[in-house]
Amino acid sequence: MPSGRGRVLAASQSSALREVFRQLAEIEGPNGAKFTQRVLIALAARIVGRAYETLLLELCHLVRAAELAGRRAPGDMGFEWLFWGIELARASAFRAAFAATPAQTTSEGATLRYPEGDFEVRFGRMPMLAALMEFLVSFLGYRAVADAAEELAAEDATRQAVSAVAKRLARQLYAALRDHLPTAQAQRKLHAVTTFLQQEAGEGFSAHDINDEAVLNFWLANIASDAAGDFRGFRTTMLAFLRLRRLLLEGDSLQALAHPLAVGGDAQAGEVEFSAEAVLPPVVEEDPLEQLQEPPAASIKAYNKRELAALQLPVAETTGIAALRLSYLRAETFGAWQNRLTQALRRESGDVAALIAAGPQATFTDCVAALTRLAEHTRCVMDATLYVLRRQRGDNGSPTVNLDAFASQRQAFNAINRAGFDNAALEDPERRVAFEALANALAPISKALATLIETFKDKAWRASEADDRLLFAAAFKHLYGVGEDQ
Amino acid sequence: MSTPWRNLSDERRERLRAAFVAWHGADLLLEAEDDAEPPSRPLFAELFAAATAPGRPLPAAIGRALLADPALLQDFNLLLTRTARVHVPRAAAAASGALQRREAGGYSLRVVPSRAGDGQVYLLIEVPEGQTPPRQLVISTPDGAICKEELPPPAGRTIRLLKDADDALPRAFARPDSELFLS
Repeated sequence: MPSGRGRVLAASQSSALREVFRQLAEIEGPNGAKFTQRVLIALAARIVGRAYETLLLELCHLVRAAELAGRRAPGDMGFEWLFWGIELARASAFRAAFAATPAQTTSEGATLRYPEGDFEVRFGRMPMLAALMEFLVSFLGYRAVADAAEELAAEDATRQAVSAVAKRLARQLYAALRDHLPTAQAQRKLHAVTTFLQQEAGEGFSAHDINDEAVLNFWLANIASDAAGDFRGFRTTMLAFLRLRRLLLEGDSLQALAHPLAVGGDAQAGEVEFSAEAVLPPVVEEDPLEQLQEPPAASIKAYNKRELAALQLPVAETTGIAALRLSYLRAETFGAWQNRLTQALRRESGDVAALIAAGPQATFTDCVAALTRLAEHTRCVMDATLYVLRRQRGDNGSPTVNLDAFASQRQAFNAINRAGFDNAALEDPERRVAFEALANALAPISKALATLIETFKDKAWRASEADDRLLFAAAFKHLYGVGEDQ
Repeated sequence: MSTPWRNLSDERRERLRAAFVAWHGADLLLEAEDDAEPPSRPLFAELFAAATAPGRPLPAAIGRALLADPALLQDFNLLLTRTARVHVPRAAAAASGALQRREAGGYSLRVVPSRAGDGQVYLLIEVPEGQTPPRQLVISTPDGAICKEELPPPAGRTIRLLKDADDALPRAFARPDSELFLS
């Protein structure tokens, strides 16, 4: 039986890929992370699903556009000026960057002229393409990308030639990823979860059979089973059930992700073909957290980095969390506890038995309170935003308006000490656009949080916490060999 | 509404499988590990800033990484080659001894002793007619030692930089195996 540390290290099979994505997530400028979490998730899904051919083709056209624009600009720089000259990878930043060059653009994107016809790379796609570029440079190396750029920069390049470069990069990426993708692990996980659900609920199981009890029982049964695909971490186990539940509920609308390889090519040889069937879902859907980080709303600091991270799952998976509320609380509290244990084991530092005995740092109540604080903060920001918009319309609390509401909104505005909430916001017409965008983004966030607060209102979730803690402590002792070979 | 598992066609199960693998695989790659080990290599974004931002000295961490990692040094030199306005390559194999003069792209670079005879030298850069004066000089040596210098505005067409003769910059300039980059 492997030691506790052995189990932790064995779980890090995709460590090279994980490190690349961690690096991408950590690229930051003075105004925040270069790539939004949503862009990184979408990119990771395409990399794992090997659904990156269309993206690579678009990227090659974008590299060509950047090369041609950069070489004609006074700095005479290659494609690098676009991908690393931009601090925040947002559509508006790319639009502004191209606007300062002689490149041909429309309101939607950058246009490339070819003998076979034009190709447009949309500004909205560029954040994702920039993340892919950063990924390629880290994973394939800068030389591979620079060599491709040399070919793409040819004045007389054709669409066919650009496509050939994209296919070559696809082959290189295919080969480089061979030993790194967690694909087999995820496949084993799906098999293990569906087999478990069939045993529990029969062949006719559906999304409605995925509940807190199923998640916990499955985790306890598979915690030390490598054959199941590594379910050591409770949080990733909860996420697996959350994803499966949503896929079962919304399978048809999510099917666009289901084209891991385009048809017509020899996948083993990396001979993938670009195909119209390899239609990918939009990179940036109507995601309010994405909108917050995109100008014009981005000029207002509604949330800090920690708050944005805490909002990610509740906003993206509101109904899933509402259905698996205990699992969410267990993941947030005991999952963090487990993280501390694995760190201590990985670093061979700290007394793991003592960490288990110490228990989690946060309780279920703390977790719900944190959500409540986020909801209250969101309401406060919304009130302040409404106050700005009212004042911008010349409304100073006239008798026709609800004076209580107006006073409360003014109070909220005065209470917020964050960038963007200053007196100039009340008069500067250019700031109004930002607050309007912020109001649009905040509404669904507030609604998601309200749904979750309502979910946790009955307090029944408190009942199992003490027993859960003992259960998880025993599971961690078993998993990490405390009392055996620790 | 959720379709029971047994009623899913093979095709839909296959789609679901692919979607799950992509989506949950992304979870596995992106799940945050608190207090994870620091990256083993500098980010490319940091290399780009180090290579292209005039007036910003080479960060010490980047300098150490370039000394320790030949592959990173290759990337850095390629980045400089692609982004610099002028690249002065290594001298021909036949060249030996310390170089006092180097040329490329119409630019002429020389190291001359200061007339004061106080152990100082001038690096003189002649900017060709019609060219915007460069703002930065980077010298890269094969062992990974990098000199980065912000350049003053030219007097006429000549940029003058005063250095101690035993400073790293004139010594790197004199090495036939060093490469120079003007941006």
